[in-house]
Amino acid sequence: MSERLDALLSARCDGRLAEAERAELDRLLGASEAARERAAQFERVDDSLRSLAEQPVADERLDRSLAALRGRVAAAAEGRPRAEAAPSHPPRTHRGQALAVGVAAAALALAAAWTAVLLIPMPSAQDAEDSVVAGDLALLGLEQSDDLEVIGELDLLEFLAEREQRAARPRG
Amino acid sequence: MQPSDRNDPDVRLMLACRGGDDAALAELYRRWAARLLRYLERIVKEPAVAEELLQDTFVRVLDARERYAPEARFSTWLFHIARNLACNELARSRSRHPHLSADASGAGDGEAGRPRLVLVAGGPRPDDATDARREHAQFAAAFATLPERQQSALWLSVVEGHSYEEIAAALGSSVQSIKNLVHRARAGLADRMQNAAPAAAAAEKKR
Repeated sequence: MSERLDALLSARCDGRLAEAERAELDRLLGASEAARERAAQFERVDDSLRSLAEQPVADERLDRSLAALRGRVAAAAEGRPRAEAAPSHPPRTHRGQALAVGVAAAALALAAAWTAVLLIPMPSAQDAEDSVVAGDLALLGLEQSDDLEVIGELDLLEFLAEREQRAARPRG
Repeated sequence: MQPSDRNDPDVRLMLACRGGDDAALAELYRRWAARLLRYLERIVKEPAVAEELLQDTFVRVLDARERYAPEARFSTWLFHIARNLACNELARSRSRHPHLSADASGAGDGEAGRPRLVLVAGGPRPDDATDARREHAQFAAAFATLPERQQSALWLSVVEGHSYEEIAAALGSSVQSIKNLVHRARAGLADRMQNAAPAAAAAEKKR
């Protein structure tokens, strides 16, 4: 079926036909049984969609959801975390967001370490922390890498905790 | 966009909500929850997730009440929020279940990139009522295979009666783009329903 006929029929369904378009559509409909059948199909689509949208929603679902909403609003007003607000469903995971935060943090850590490596060619005792970072990166095979996907796969918390422990050790 | 009528009951309720009237939010919820929930269910396809997104939508409404300005129809703004949340959820869902992304985006193994409509025949010999139910189920399945933007554009136009301009604002698109989305959605559904009818008849004949 022609794209033009479909476009005109759709515009007619939405009451958006210009006068010239209306005349064009009338000509097409008058000349073709297939065009008239297509027009009927479009009308059935709209009827079916309205029917789909009229499916009843159980009051208890709406009431339950409203109660959960009120709980969340009250919890927010009291400064409680959402978990205490009796959610109606298990919380969704936000793994993607967590990963993004991890990657960003890893990128910052790598940038700081890389800067240290560039600025201080020979780590000294006075530069313990920077040298530890560079050493960790070297151990991890990352001293030449800026591949954030690799960083994103690291256990960043473990990495940072270990780095802090090394930096806190007595020097000497 | 024309400024919204302050005598519009939704706008009055929202302004009352902005003024601290908590009962106004509950009234807005009662007016819109069922319609929003039906829309969200069609988009995310999971009733429990749709319920949570419904709550999220009203939390966002409440959070934004101080900044609310009745410059557009309330429902346009409401569906804009709901749709954004639904799209975020779809994106999260696809990242969790990448194998489902083809279904959700409308790509599939059917003709010309259209998913094949699977018809399930069963139960007693159909009469008018079961024919209607079957057609209803077929239409729901066909609608579910449309890309989200086509679903939203057609739903907001046909069900909510929003203008192309309002839908363009809600979807962050141009009026011409919305016109094309609505047209393609209607044409796609008409094609799929036309193809489904002979398949259903053949399945019935086999039994």
